[in-house]
Amino acid sequence: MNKYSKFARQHMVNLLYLPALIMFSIFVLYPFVKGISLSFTDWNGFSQNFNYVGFRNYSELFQDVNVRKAFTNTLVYGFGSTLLQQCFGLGYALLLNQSFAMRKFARTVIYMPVMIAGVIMGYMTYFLLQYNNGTLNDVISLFGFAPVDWLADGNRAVAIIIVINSLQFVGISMVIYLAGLQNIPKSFYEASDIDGAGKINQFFHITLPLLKPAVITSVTINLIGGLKLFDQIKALTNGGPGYESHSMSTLIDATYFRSQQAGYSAAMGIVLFLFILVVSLIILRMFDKRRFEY
Amino acid sequence: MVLVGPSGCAKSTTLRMIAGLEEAAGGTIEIGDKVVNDTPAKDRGIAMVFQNYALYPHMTVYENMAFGLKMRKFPKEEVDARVRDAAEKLEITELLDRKPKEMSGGQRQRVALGRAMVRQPEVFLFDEPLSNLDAKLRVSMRVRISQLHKQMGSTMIYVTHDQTEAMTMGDRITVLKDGKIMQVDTPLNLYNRPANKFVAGFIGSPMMNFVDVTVAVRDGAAVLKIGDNVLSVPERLQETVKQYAGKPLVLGVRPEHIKLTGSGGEDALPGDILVKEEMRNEVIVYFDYAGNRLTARIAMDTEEGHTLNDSERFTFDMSRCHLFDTETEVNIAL
Repeated sequence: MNKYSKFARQHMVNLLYLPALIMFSIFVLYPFVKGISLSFTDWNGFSQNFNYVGFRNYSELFQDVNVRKAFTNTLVYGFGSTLLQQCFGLGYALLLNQSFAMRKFARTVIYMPVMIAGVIMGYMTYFLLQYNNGTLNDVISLFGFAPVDWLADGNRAVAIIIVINSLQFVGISMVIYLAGLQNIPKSFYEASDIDGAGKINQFFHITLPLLKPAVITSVTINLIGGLKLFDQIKALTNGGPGYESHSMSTLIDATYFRSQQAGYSAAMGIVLFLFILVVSLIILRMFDKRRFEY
Repeated sequence: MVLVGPSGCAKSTTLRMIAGLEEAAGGTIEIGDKVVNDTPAKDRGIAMVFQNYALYPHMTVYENMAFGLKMRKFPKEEVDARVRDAAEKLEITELLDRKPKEMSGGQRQRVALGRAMVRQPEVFLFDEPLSNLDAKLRVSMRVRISQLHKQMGSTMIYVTHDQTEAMTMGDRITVLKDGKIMQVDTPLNLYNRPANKFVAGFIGSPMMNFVDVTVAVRDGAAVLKIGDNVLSVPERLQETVKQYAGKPLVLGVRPEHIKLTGSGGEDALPGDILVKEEMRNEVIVYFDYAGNRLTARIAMDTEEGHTLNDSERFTFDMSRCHLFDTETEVNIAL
């Protein structure tokens, strides 16, 4: 390749990623930088006037009871959903890795909720669980039980949101684990069969260690998704009762639009971003991929 | 025992059935005096070396070798002693802390062998264990496995498609084709007394030449006619061959049983030489005779130079030839 064509080729490569770079700058980079700038103001979200308040928003949010509750909930949503999704995702993958009739159908059914919007999933669950005319209450009333206001209790609402989020996205974990399982050569199981390992020993000594790359991927995706949880909460409880089921994401939304504290909510956004960044880095460091590549 | 045959002849399937990794559709599998058809792989007293080694990638060499013993709950001290003893025998002691990806193919193969050895099984099963190694390493591993066989005295069943491996390693060889046993015999008998045309063609390199002949009786003696040439039939086969008078047979001749001749007799076959491969002390000659492409292995000192013309006359050593029935392909010259 001569000098000119090498030069042209390099410029062609630059041109090809330029559209993506422009879109990224407009929709991600600019709002992010603007968000940082807003977090140091008292802007209410619509006024032409605002003042720079330094770190006041940041110092306030660390003392805000609602922020603390939302932050705790965020952790519970993140780690709770991740745990459930790993257990069920791996369970489904192990099951679907066997050959049986309707296997493809079962795989589609488990994966299908992933394709539904989170808000729709939240509303569907809401209609299922609402006090008056909720399907679940209709069913239990058939057995003579009194209707229950399922979402009236904060802890129960949080638990329900975790289950719904896990049910919706367990398909992603299942697909990741299934791909991981199908990458494990059959000969390892045959060798361990001859070595005298039963099914349980095979799972703990062969399957699980060889699935570590899949675990890293699945945990990272699920944890980030769980920590950012918004749609289902918004549709199902809107953070209620009171502030009991708010995540940081929904609290940011409520603070911005309901309380009209755009600067304060921007500060929350920055804190959430930094938190997710740190958690992701810790996970990636803990599960250094190179250690598990064979 | 070596199982040998072309791809798809069921040699690996047979081995896997012995191992308990595949279910036998019929018949019985016995190890010692015990029928093991329904015995799980782990209880059959076997160890297997896989073609792709099947070393657990997340475990060190030590852990790989110790895994089978740990699963069988051997005391730690005994596990350690057995692993180190096997590692010493296989000269892999310095590799014990490495993981499989940090080793060469030959080293991995030795670890796979070590993993089988520590179990001290009644039967070793080898599924084409050397096929991923280069030619030089294959030879050294062949020797190592043969030495181990002598030292350990265990039964070893070895699957290969490489007839050189089969001939050099096997006490007995089973030749398979399409899931059927063609012959079970010693390496020399397979070479010198092949039961049928398939075995005759499969064993030996370069492979045996096959020529279509017609049996005729001349002056009360059976002869074989090929085109204008007539070949005499050894005395010991006269009666058998006479039964085929007027019928075709397939004549099998090993390349080393074809000689150059200066005579112009009716058993001297004129051949147009196509290719000559010169070795140190022999020349492999590919020649064309009456539409048959034949191979001859002519002993000659190539350092002194040879004088092969483009066309030469060849004779077959009929006392060493084989005759195969055209329909059944059975060797009638045994």
